[in-house]
Amino acid sequence: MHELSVVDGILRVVEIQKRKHRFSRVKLIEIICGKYNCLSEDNLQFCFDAATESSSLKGARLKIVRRGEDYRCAACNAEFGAESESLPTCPACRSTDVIPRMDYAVYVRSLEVE
Amino acid sequence: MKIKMRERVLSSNDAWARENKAFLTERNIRMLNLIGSPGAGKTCLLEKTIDLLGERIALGIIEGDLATAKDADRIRKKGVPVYQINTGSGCHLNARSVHKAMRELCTDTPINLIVVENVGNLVCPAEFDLGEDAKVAVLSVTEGDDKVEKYPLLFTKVSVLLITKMALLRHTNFNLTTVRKAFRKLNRMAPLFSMDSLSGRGFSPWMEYLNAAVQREDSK
Repeated sequence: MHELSVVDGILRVVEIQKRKHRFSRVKLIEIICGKYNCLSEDNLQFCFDAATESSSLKGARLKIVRRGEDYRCAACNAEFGAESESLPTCPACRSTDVIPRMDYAVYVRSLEVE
Repeated sequence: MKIKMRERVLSSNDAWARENKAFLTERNIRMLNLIGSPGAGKTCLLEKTIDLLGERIALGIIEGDLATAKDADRIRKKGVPVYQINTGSGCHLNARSVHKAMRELCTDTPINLIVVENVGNLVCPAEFDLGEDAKVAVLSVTEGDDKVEKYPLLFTKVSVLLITKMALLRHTNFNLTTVRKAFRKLNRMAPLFSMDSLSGRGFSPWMEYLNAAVQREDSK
């Protein structure tokens, strides 16, 4: 159940933003993560709902956006983005020796609030 | 109103992971995070590793399980310092609990390599950095050769993949080439070692990997 740890992290972020912007209700929380992060919208929403049942965040909706990954070509050093399932080939030199950007972090990208 | 930002969700775990990294660097200790399914043979692998290591590396082990100290008991029998974390219902170790464990482990004994045996799980432990130098995946031949493709996150992040229970290979339909190909699609750099922990067959590259890991730290 690592979703609960993720929800806990989301709640911390919202709390800090609330102090800054003084909103009363959150309608939508947009999460951005890499294509391999083990997060599903349904599971995350389920845990979020359970954790916020008696709080002012009750009813907020979560949306997960998957970002395409960035790669660097080990042969020609070109940097490029790609959305393929496996490691892509370099668009500049066609080398298959490409290194994925090692950012697997999950971020809150935006809050829609009232 | 829409508020735009870029705030890390696991910043609390990440902060503890950085704390752990600093703790280890200061003491010239290297740490590996061992991840695999329940029953993949992680503890058995550690037992054989201890047998073959001899006095060359001062090893310390952190065990993560939902319940019991069974793994810690097995390691302790081998004469290696060990700390057992019980997560209750937690599916992964987090950096904070490992921080406490590594402090305890390093109080009395000089240690230059810590191996964390994470909770048996191919999913959640891959998401939580502990401040380790490298993640090590353990996959046994009885689990099937489709697991690399089915649980890609872990296999993109690991620095080495260990295929265990090789003595059972002929009793299964596990195809090593299938695994190697799937792994290379996700991870171009990490070596793959196939081995058998009961007999110790195929352990040499793994032992070399450990020696190199510790020496690299010493030369800093």
